[in-house]
Amino acid sequence: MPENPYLNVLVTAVLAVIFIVASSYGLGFLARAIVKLRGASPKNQENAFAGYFFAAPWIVGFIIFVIVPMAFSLYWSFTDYRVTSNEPANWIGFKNYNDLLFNDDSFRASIVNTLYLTVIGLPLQMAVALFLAVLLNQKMHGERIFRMAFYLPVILGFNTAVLLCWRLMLNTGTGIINQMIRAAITAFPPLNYVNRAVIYIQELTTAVFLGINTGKFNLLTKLLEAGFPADNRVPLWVQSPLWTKMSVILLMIWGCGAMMLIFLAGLNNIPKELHEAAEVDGATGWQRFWKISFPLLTPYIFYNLVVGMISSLQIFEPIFVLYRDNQPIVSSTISMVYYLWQKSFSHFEIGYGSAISWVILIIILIVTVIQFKLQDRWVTYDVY
Amino acid sequence: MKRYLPMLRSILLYTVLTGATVMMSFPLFWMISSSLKTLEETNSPGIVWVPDNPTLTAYTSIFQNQDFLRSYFNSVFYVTLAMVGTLISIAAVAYAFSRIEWPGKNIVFFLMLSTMMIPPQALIVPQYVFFNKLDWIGTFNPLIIPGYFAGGAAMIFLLRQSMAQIPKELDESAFVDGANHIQIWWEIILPLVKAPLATVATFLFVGLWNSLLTPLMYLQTIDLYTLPVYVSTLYNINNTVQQWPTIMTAAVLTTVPLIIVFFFAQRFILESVVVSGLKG
Amino acid sequence: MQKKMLALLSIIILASLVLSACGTPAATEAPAAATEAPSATEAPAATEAPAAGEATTLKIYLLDYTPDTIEWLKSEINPAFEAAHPGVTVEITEGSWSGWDTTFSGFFAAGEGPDIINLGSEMNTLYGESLADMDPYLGEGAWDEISNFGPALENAKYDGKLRGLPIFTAPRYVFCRTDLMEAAGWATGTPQNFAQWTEFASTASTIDPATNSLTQQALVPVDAASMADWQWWLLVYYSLGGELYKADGTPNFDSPEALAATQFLADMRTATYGPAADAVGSLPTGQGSVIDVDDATGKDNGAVCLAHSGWAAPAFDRPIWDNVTIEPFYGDPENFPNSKPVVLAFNDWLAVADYSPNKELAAEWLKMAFSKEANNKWNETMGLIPARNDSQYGYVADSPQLQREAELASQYGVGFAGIKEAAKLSTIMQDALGKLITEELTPEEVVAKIQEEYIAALGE
Repeated sequence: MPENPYLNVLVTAVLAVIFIVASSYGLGFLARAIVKLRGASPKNQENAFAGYFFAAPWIVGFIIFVIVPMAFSLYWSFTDYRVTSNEPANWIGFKNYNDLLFNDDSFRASIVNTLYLTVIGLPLQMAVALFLAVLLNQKMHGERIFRMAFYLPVILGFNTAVLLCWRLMLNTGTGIINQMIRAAITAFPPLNYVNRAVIYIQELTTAVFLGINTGKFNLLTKLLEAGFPADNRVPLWVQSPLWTKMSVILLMIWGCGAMMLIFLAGLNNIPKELHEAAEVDGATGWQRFWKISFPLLTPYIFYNLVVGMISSLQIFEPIFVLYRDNQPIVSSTISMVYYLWQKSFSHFEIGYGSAISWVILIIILIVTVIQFKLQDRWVTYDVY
Repeated sequence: MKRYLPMLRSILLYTVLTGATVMMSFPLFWMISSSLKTLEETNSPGIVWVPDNPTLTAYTSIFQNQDFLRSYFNSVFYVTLAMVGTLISIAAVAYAFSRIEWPGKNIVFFLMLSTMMIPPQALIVPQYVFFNKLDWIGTFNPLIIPGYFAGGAAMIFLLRQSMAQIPKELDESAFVDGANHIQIWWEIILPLVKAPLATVATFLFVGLWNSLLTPLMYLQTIDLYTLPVYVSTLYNINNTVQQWPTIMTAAVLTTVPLIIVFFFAQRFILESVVVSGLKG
Repeated sequence: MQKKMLALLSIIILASLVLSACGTPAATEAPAAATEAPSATEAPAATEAPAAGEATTLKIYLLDYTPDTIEWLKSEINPAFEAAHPGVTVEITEGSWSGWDTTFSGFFAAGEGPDIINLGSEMNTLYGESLADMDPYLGEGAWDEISNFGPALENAKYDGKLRGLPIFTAPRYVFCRTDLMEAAGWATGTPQNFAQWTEFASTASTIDPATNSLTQQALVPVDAASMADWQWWLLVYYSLGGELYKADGTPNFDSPEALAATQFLADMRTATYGPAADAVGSLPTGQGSVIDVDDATGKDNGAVCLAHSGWAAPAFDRPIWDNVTIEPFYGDPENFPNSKPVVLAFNDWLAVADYSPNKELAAEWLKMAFSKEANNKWNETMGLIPARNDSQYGYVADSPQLQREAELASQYGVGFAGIKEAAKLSTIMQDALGKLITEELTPEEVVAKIQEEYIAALGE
């Protein structure tokens, strides 16, 4: 292997390509041989060969980079492996899983938090994405710039700079978001009632969930005692455990650019003739949306729902960047994967962490399978 | 009054869009603004919209910073090399799932989709141990080679959906003419999915370019660091004064290629995303 | 089409090769400007170099550095070391504080990695089992200079044995703006007991009714918003004379000191923010120090006092220092006679991993990089206080702030060490303290919860 790192990886890449091509042929031949033994037609034999030949890169990669590590992870989940102690991993059977599912309050709290983020955050995220897509679908100037702007958050990702910016924006007193809310209220005083009502409902809901987490409903009682929020209340965003989840949801909505693109593509694919015909028949914009656009968008909604749900069940980054070093309130917003990270890399209990990751995987699997089974009920394909 | 309705609608439309744009692009705007400030100006809490005397000193000095330039090059190098292999293998695997009927296809497809559900954090430690055994720590290999095995289930899925749209008759007539699968793949199918390929390429590019944790773990020395890793080293907890203008400048410069790529690729992305027939 | 693709591919590969050829001379730079003989370091003692002809690499992983630090290490320390040990190359890796935990877990899981690792204070119990026993090389019998290291040395020990050497000490002081104190009508200077602190908090904190948020905060203890950081709690607890563990090693959160510390945190919070139901907004967080002044607007950043490390305070050359005092935290002598002034110190250190095959070499490098002059020079590049008492000269004496800080550190320094399962304790405490400030739990319930959960965590 060459010393120079660039040459090193180039050579390795070439070797990898050779390896992949060889294994593709190998797998293809193997498949064809097996299928031949079972008495398949020549065409089917060829197809078996071609299928495995082309799919081989993924299959081989899956075995090497996924199955093997997952096997390790599975093994570790049955041990008490702690990376930093010099002791070897001791087999402890199902103890990790037992503790996790029945005795671990923090894990249960993380499940509740994740569900909250998914059940409330995901629909909001999709609704905003759809709304923006519909707006962008109108004829206008500068749509490229707007599209660019809406995808920008996805491109920026969550680096230190973006994090700091959000902390500034979400500050209760001087942050721009609350300032805008105050400006809106000053301009239209009746909005204040809406504002306070929304705050009240939000805080009550969160307090209920937090109560479920800890088993104590002190916070809820206190909130009910305090009554309807005072005049100058605004959301507390990153300051209070009652608002941490909303701030994470805000970040989720901010990053809805990818979903928006999918919806936009879907809207683009609806033939204009359908809309024009409906207009001629006297349908309003609203009717046209619900009767034409929406049903034809269901495949795209489904895709965004599946991918979005997997993604929100695995949510980690926004919580990590906003709250990692602001510890006192992080427990109100820990997600399942955040808990996994905490156990594995903060407390260094890799054995326990592995058990957590398997449980998360199974949860997501079940949810996704349910979604696929349900799609027949509401998703319309190939209508025209 | 009715005459003004379209105009009112337009104004409303543009207002809402502009408002949303401001919200979405605010962090970038603030990053740029910070990068143009002097160190003293970044001293305050709260948001200073526009610096009084915008200065390009942070930019001129960062372009003289060897480490920064080298990490820029490293990013370009590793992303390009990774994308070349990843794109080809993704295109191959998507072809298998969309244009050929082979035994076990559905099972493998489902397995592939399920890899999307594995929390990435679960694989970090075992993969590190594995790469260590291969002596690949401290090289670019762990960042690039796994991609060559068609890493990225969502991308395969996307491309597969697009390929599935192409009428089967094309394949069949090509077979009749005596072509084999490889020829069909390369000369017929791939040219027809140029736009989806560009989409996948763009998404891959964004993901690879911004990736922080994997390069941090595997590239141990600063002369190998990619851009996001280098930028993260600029933020040093024990510094009495954070060099905010420098950090922001580096962050802005990291984002520029992404913006350029995306601006030009937008059109392809919208043309290409066709997602019907998800039953697979 | 096919040909074009191939051509494109080959061009890319070719271009990469060419560019990389241009890039490599930079990548493998020889140590720059290593012309002058390393005068600052002692001539290496007559230690045996490893068997001549064996090429070994000593790998060092650093997390806190400025470009100047690395520059100095590469131009002065490393060449001297390599000259004294032929066949050995020293390689410094510069990591980042984001993602260090994942990276380190990789090293230990693989059983391979850097020989010397940069760790933070509280990590000695976290990694202790996997760190090498360096007593034979650096301990009292082996290296007589070890006695020059101040209280920070405790952070580098695990299970009674030395595992590495501390670089600097970064204690937490109480910085106060005297001008703002006077303006708020507080005439007696930095508060000296709990009662004074709570009174000071309500006097000097102001809330703007229009925005329902703080515009001035009397004390910012580590975290302005919650005022319930676990490290702040530990500082208060230690100042009362509290001990984390009883004689039998069980946690001591059921002690009166623990309750008093918790009550103090709750009182300070209420005195500053009012009752939790008021939902007062916190000070804005920004890029500068909270006790500094914004040059552009001339307005203060909002805090009167700050209890944090030196790096959260303004840069030493700022004019604001004319109005800033540096004090320890005085505890509560009125109610707890065992109270003592405390500066809780973070001491970053370099540890030697147990998997390292080069422990003796590592010890030699450490001796060189932590000599009296070297420790001084290392910290000068970072503006921090050297861990070695005899290294606190030169730039330390030149800066009045550092001088004062060093004095306080040597008098009242308490290390952040010997905390069992520190990471788990941090999670437990932060969770409980978080519920304290929302008034979900009373102080009694909080300490009971911490005690119970910590006992369980230690039992595993």
